[in-house]
Amino acid sequence: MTHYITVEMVNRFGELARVVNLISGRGFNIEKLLVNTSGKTDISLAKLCLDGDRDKVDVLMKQINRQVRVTEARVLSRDEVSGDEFFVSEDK
Amino acid sequence: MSSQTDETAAKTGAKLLCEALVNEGVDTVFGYPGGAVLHIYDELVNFRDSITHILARHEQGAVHMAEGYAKATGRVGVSLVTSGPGATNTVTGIANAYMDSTPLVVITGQVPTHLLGTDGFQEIDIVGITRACTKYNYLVRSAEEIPEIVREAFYIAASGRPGPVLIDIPKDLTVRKAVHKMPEKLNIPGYAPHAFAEQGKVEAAIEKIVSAKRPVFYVGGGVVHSGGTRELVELVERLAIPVTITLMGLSCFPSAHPRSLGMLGMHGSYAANMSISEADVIIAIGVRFDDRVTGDLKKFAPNAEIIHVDIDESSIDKNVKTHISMTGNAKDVMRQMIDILETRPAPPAGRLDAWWERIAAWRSHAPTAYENHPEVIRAQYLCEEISRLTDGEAIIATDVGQHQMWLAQYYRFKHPRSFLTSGGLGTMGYGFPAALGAKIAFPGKQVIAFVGDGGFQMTMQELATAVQYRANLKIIVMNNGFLGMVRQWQEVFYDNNYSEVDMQFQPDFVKLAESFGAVGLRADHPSHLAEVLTKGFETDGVVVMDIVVAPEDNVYPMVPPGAGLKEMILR
Repeated sequence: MTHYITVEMVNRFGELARVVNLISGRGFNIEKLLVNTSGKTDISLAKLCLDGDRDKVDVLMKQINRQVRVTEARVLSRDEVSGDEFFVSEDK
Repeated sequence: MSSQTDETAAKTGAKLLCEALVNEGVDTVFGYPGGAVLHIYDELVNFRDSITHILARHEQGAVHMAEGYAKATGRVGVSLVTSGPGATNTVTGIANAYMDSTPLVVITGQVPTHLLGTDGFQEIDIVGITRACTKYNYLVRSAEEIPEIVREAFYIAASGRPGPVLIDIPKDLTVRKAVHKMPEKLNIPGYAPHAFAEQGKVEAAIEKIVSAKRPVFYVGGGVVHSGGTRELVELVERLAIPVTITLMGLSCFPSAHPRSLGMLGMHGSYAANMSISEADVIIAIGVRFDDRVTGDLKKFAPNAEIIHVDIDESSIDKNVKTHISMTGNAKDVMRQMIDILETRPAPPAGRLDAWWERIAAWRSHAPTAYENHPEVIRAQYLCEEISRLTDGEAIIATDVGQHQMWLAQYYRFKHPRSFLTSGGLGTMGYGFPAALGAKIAFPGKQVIAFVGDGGFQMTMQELATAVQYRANLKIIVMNNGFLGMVRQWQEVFYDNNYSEVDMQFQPDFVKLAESFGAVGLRADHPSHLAEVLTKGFETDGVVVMDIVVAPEDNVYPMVPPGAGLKEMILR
């Protein structure tokens, strides 16, 4: 099933690469990815969709959270993404 | 934190780097010079009073040395190499440190900033290459930031779950002059290692532990890293619960302690694997339920409730679902447990008698007993002799494979940080340079590299380093002429179809040692073994002992791949 994920990290070169590298290194395909500033000082926000077994995604999330300059990574519920054009548009 | 102090006059990036290393208390750097780090090496000469540089013969060796230094001392190991091949040669060492949670700071030179991305001479994106095997890594973009990055790197490497951090410094920044202002306090958003666990969870865990009928400890490297041996021994003695230990944790609990069941896992003791399999409560501390420990997960500890303490939250519920999990530093959480036990009446004596009786029966099964051969040295005997002659007081390092497993089974460990082994990555060629790094940290201690003939040939050029620095280091080569563990698998699981495991040509290790200015000795008969080992230990300087052992011997017990822990092949 598709998982909707947000990752907040320090807005600095290399941080996104560490996260994306970690995801791809475990065989997950990132189906959608959007990175932008977050509104918080020096923090960028990545939104991404990936497909995978929930248990494996849970471990992955902990591993993303373990990254030194990731401030928060979490899986969103369907309700949480319902108003988000980026996430919703993938259902079309 | 924006307030800034400690203004310094303009200095070159190289000088800022050397000063930053001194500020971190660095006394030894294991390295290898090259074009991109020429300015740094030029400056390093001015720091000879504070920093000893050990010139390795290969960058992989330098990083393994730094790791041996770090594992033996508990401090951050430091390695300095050039760009391109210098940097790529460190990758195995960095990955090894990453898998074994060893704190390292590896500094690599890089082509000058204006050449980045141009395929310049000796340019490689080492930050990109090491993303998956570093706890963190940096590409430095200005000389000003060097001191702060160094401070951060040491903090990140040593705190939380330790690990390697790489700093890649373009050459132009090492000669550029800069004034640095160090912030008063490091600010790393998103990084806050835990120490203590939630008190309520610790109380719930204690409740479960004291009411368990078949409890067992499963402890590992986290106890070593956190310096928690005293707490572990106290906890075990208060509770009278058996202890099983992972390869990475072996030195954290005395092998001779009556509560020790020895190592668990693929080549673990029968008693350890049976007790884990039959337990009703497993108290897992500083461990990560590695596949070499658990065997088939579906058959792992089917009746046990699992209490897991680890500093790395991502290790919890990764392979095995836990019932009570606590994120925290092993030593600190064990102290919390002891504090709670102190407020309670002691658990009734004899409550675990029935459990200990079953364990006694498993122990007497004694599958690690072996028979000596009158003409051929058995590797098990060699390991027992090393243990006897050192009385467990040595620091001993190994590679990966049969020799490592036999040593883990037969050496009687006494002190934490006395066993330096490549556990997670399983790196051949690790043991000898790691032992050398430990010897440089502790010149007064007995340090032994115990390696196979295959692994030794991967990094044996570091004999030159050992001799150059007059290390009083002893290298014992367990020489069976085979890549023994691979051969064992081919024998057992591939119907004796030996494929490229027979080392049909070997150097003469005695002459090889002599050509490096070391002493070479050989034993190929059981009657000479003790004499050769004793002579080797007593001879000053670097000594290589070539110990010719039975060529086709297997490590037992063995849990076949994909099998459950109880499905051990015993002999």
